[in-house]
Amino acid sequence: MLLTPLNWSSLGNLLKFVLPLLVLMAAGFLISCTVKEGAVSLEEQAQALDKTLICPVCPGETIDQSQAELARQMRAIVREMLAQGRSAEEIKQFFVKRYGEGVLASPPKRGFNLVAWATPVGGLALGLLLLALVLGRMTRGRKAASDEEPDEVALRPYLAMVDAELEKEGIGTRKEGSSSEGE
Amino acid sequence: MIPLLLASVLAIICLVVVAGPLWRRQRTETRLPGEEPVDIEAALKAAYQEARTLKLELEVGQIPKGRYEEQLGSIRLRAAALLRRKEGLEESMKQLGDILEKEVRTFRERRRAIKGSVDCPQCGTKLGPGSVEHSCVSDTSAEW
Amino acid sequence: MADLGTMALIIAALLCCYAIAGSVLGARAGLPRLIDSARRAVYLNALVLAVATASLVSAFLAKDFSIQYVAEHSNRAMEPVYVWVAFYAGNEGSILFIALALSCLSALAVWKAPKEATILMPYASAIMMVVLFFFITVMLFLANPFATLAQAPPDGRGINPLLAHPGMFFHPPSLMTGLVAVTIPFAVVTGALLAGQTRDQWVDMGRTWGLIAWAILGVGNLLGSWWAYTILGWGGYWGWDPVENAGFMPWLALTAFVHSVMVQKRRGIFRLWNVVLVSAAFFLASFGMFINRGGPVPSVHSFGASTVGWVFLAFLAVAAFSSIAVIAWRYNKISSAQPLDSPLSREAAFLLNNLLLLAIALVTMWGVVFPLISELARGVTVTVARPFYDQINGPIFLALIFLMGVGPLLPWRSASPSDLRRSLLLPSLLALGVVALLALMGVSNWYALASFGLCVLVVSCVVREWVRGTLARSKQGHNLVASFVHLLGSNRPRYGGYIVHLAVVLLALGVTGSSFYSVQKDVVLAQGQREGVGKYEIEYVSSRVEHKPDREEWTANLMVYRGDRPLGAIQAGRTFYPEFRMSSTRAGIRSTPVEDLYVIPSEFLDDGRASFRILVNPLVMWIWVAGPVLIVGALVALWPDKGGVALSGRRRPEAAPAVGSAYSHEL
Repeated sequence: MLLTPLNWSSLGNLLKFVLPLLVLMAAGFLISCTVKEGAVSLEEQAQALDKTLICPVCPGETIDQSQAELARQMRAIVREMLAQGRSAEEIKQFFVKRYGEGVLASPPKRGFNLVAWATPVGGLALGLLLLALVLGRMTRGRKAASDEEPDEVALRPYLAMVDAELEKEGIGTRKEGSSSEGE
Repeated sequence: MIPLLLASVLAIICLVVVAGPLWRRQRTETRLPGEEPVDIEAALKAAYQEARTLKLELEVGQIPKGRYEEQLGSIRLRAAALLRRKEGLEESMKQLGDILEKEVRTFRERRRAIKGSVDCPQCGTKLGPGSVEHSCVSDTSAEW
Repeated sequence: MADLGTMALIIAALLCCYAIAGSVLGARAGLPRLIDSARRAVYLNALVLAVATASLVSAFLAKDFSIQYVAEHSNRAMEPVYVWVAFYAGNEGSILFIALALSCLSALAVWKAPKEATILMPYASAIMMVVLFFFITVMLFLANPFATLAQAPPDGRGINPLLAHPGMFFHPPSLMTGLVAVTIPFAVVTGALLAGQTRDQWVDMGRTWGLIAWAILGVGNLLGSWWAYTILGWGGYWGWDPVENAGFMPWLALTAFVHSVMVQKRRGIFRLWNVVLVSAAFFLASFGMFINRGGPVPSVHSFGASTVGWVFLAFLAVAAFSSIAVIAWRYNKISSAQPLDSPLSREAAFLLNNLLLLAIALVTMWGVVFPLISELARGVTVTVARPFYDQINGPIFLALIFLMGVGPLLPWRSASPSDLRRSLLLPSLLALGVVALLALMGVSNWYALASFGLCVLVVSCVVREWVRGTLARSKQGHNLVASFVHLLGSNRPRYGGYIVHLAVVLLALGVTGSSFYSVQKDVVLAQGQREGVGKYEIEYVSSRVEHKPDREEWTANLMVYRGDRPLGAIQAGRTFYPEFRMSSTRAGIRSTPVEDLYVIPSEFLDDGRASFRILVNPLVMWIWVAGPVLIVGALVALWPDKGGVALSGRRRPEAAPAVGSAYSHEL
């Protein structure tokens, strides 16, 4: 049902409006995935790493947040290993070997865990597509539904009532009698 | 013991309050507004609100003057058509009411003519023919 | 007193049953007296649950440790003010609190129901009572707060130390009230469907209650962040913790709803979509309560871990199933009045906003459940925490802020691209200018630049509209202030919404500043020693220990300098509760509009030194300022619109002046 022909010209207008949005989101996502701090101190690297490791004994807290003894030891290990020149990835693997995958604050982007990352992105893309289709369909009905021209003569007394109401709020209905000029 | 007493007092209060409306005499039915008048009223309200918003959009420069006039025109027509429909409905409702009232009146008069006298349904006093002026505590016509 | 409480609960359960049966039968068979009577049962329920609450509170005050709940959540040393907190510190009490809140809100909703909702109200109140009945039966059979102990212990266990904080006086109540308040709009909408009122009869009431629930929930979430910031002691305020998410997701769905319901109110379209949104919000709120009350995910916030989780899960399933069934049953009757005029219009922008908000809610939901999926699929436990949400939700938030700037520029029905370009020109130039300025000042993070730029865009679009509207009105001869007030009053839903947008901008500023530019340092200081952090120098002056019956309080006095100029003293503390083998921190915070200096003592060492974590968190203060602004916006949007009612065109033209005088709000 959704796949009936669409009103492409109005969708084109929409696209002009949505496109920057998509570009922005894509850019943000790419940046967020690739951004790697350049020249930062060891301590800053260590703090960044602390935020990606979960303290195994406290519910849902990173070793950066937690004040448990184990978290303190893990923070010390992170700094020691960084000082030895190990990479962030090596340090993470070290803790994964020790405590399992749950020690990482977000699942690594590979294997089965890719599902965790791909589902939201795919879902959002699907949602946007669906929205475009729905909008196309909803606007397509507009020509058909434009109601028959009402009989203005019969409506005249009622139009006067409407105008009186509107006039009270300063909504001018006659072109020359309009009470305010916005533009 | 005290808690039990308090709880039963609470329960009795609840019973009395809840049962209250059930023992009340059937009040004269306040007619719920039918579906259509309510809908028309809401649509009318929405139309006026739309006109107000339109004016605002003109003032803040979201739409040009031409579009404003064009859309206001269609809102006016819509509101006027709604008003007409509403008045038509009210008219027919009133006619219905008039017809009912007339029926009741003729029925009463016929009854009075046949029996010569009639019991007032409220207070039970015998009414002679033509004693229309009799009045008891509440208006009887609602009961008929 | 325990007996009175339990009996009050039984009476409340019976009243629920009566109210459900009475209102449904009354509506079906057309018996107004029965409906009246059932309505009274709804009012009485609030009274009866208040009696139950009062008996629990008096047990706390009387230190009646024969009641298990009182014994577990208070002790003799507890100050009386904390009874309020102890009341909902555990499962049983918090369910009683939720039930009380729901009964009061239901009574209010039934009492204040507008005329258009007369036909749907019996069904709506029946649904409210079904939900209330669920909570009451859970208390009676699984988690009775009035359960007694065979032998009263000499002293109670005391209150969870993390709860002994001013934030806890308001955060859990407003969060619980907000979650359960979603029941009201859901009941109104579903009641309308059941009653066959499938057009716009429910819209005003549904919107009002949707907004109320939205505001309470929003404030609850903010208070939770404030509590986390000042007491959890890690320098952050939001950790995408499952319990935080549980309060956040329904709020997002409600945000979508309060936007798109305006389209139905104005245009009579999106009817089906609004029903779906409100049902989704209710589902997410129930899910939130499930996570809160002994859910399967570990969290720093789960105080009352328990076994009632599965009942909530069953309730969730039944609620989801039945609301889907009701929607499916009435599907053919819910149709929109008119088609959409253009995809470039306010209506369409609302739809896109709904999509993005729901996307954030669903991503969050996905993050909460993915560990369970991984457990089931691979048997491997994984954690989904902050890095995941930052990377996925961050860009969606940015898109949402962009939409918040552009959306308000779009008129209803249809916008012409050239008009839109014209109105966007100045705000976007301003935004680009600010971005360029910030980049020159050394802000190099693209994320932060984009966020600040978009915030400028939003603010300038709102201000632009306010300025133009005010000027247009002042041309009619009013002064500027009166014109502005009149402008805000002329369309309260719109301008209340814009005020809330400004609150969101404040939030975004605070979150962006503190996420990307906070500086953190862990140091060990001896007394008299100084340490520099950012442009501050901190001196550890002295410490003090106080031994109280239930706790040891350590307080560090610190002095803050900039260069040699002293800026002021701050105090930070740490309290150890031997009974709970738990300690809580009190952060010392020196807050300025630019940045917070934030100090927490991690440990007091035996040699007199102490280790501190010191942070400089930029712009955090604005997150808390957003709260009051949000409330003001919600109140403006909620304020009843008398003008609209008077303007119903009831009279003929010759009687028009009378209507005019009734329409008094015009200046």
